[in-house]
Amino acid sequence: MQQLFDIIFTTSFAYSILRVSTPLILAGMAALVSERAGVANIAIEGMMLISALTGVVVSAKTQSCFLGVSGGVIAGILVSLVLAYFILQLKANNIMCGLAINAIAKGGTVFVLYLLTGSKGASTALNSATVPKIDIPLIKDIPILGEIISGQSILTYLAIIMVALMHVFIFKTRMGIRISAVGENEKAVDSVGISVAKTRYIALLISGFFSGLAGVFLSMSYMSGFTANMTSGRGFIALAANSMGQNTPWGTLAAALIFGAADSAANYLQVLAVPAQFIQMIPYVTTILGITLYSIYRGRKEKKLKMKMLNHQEEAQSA
Amino acid sequence: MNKKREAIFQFLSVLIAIAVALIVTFIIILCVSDEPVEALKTFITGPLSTKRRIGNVIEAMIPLIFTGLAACVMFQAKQFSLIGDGSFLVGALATAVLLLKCNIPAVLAIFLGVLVGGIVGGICAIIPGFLKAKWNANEFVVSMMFNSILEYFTVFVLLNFIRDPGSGFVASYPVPENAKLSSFISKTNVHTGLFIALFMVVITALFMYKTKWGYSIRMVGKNPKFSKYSGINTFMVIFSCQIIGGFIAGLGGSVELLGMYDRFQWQSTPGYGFDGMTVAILAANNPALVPIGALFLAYIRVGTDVMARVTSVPNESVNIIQGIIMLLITASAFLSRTKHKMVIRSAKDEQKKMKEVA
Repeated sequence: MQQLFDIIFTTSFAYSILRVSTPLILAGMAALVSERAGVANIAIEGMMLISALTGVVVSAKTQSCFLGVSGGVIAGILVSLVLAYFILQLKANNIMCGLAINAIAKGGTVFVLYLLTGSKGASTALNSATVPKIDIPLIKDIPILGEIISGQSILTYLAIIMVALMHVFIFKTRMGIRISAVGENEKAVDSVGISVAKTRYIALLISGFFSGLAGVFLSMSYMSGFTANMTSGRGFIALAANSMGQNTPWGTLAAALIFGAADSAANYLQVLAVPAQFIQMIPYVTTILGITLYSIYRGRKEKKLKMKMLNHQEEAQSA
Repeated sequence: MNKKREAIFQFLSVLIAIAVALIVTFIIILCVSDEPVEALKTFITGPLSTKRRIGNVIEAMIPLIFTGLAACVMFQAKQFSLIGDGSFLVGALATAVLLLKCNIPAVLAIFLGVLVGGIVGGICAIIPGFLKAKWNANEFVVSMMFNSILEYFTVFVLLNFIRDPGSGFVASYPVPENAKLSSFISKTNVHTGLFIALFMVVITALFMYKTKWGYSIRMVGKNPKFSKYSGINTFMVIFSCQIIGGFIAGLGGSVELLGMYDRFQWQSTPGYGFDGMTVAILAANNPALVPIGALFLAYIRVGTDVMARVTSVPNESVNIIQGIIMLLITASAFLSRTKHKMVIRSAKDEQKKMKEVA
């Protein structure tokens, strides 16, 4: 037990939570904006993979980190356009579409990687750039806190800024409120003359943007290079983080940090006598627990709402 | 639109989806290969070129039939669970553990081994199925997460209980010879599991279309609210269809192990659950058509494998084909104009009939 505490209460553990959570936070925002518009985006996983590879390839060809990141993000947006076209224009089932895009991404990235480098495993042959880490002045000198918060990747800080921006976007701007309205009651939105399809298109494009950032973080910061299937389910964990965060930016951030903590705990606890496989299960068990708790909560809330409406009706009738 | 026209329409849309996917593949091959004609030729005719390769297609088809059936049962109730992946893996693991740890008499070995694989596969589906049925927790994400847990569990059991330290790679002790499903076509590995698969096709088709339970499953998929108000126990239907799916996938895992492998050696899912979804979509969720869908997917899989060996086109191309087919078939509206015309035509036909009667 002592050993366990020694591991968990260290600054390097807290530092790694932030690092591990970053892709979950970014992908969580991708899940949030699409879920709010009423379209569960299963394809986040695939978009992340495609962006991760694009980022590496573009940065290797141009030797520019910025162009690499932009390339990855643009790739994410383009894939989300395809997804949106199939779901919104062709009325295809969103889960099936997402699965299909994931399959294409999983095979397609290895396919392209093999053609470019001759390897099906990793992009070590490509000399790709990485996103620099930065020290924050003043904060870096604060003991403990400085060691945790300072010196992270630029994308990690960007992710947290994005959460704040998303909060403003979703709750304070006209577009954000429209997106939520489309998810809650598309007929009502349609009846006041707002295009449902257009609003969902925009939501999915934003989702693609965030997926792209998440993917680029994986291949250009978390690791320096692309490896086959490097997302390893993070796109799905992000969906879970968003539902556990109850579809709000700060809630999703908190849930992403919890999953990130479970994930980095799994990395750190491997020194304990417990079989490694059980420790590796921790993030997934946490995720399932999170989804279950949220589902129970949502069910109760819906029931309450129904009872309220029934009561209203009865009152109206008796009056 | 009448049923016959609906069926024809569905069939056409599947054919067009396949055609488009293949055309896209051909274009990709043309772009990346130095000898595109040779590559295309091996892709299309490769699987038929030798007796062994024809055997490979049939071998690859067997597990796809099982997971395809599993996906059909779940899709009919609109349950998009990937538990087939985990059930397949753990079903095979259970069979291996049973045969290696218990002294099963030779007569019963195959029967018990496969049955236990199925049952354990069904057990795997309990958690995602229950969470969905009871609290409406997203079965897709839960099954996905649960599959990862099952993978780690499998590795744990493999390493600690059945691993043969003497084998050159991480694998269990060899499965007893008398429990193997023997091959019945010379020079191939086509094993008697094929008959178990076809038997399951018949059983599943009968179950879905001739029993009250199967009817309830289809009803819940078509209209959950109506089913609930007409007295169908939707909790049991949603729960049970996932258990049944897990059971069939688990059977598939054991059959694959006993037919194709000497030892249990998977440390991650072989991905047949997802492939089963593709098969189910190709078969329009009809169990009777699953063997055709499985045959098609097995064919392009062997085709891309042969192509990868002969030319420089990597066999991941099969994922791309699979994805495009899924996208196009589920995009019901990509033929909406044609469908619209067909609706009008059948309406006119009916009008004519009405006039004739009058």
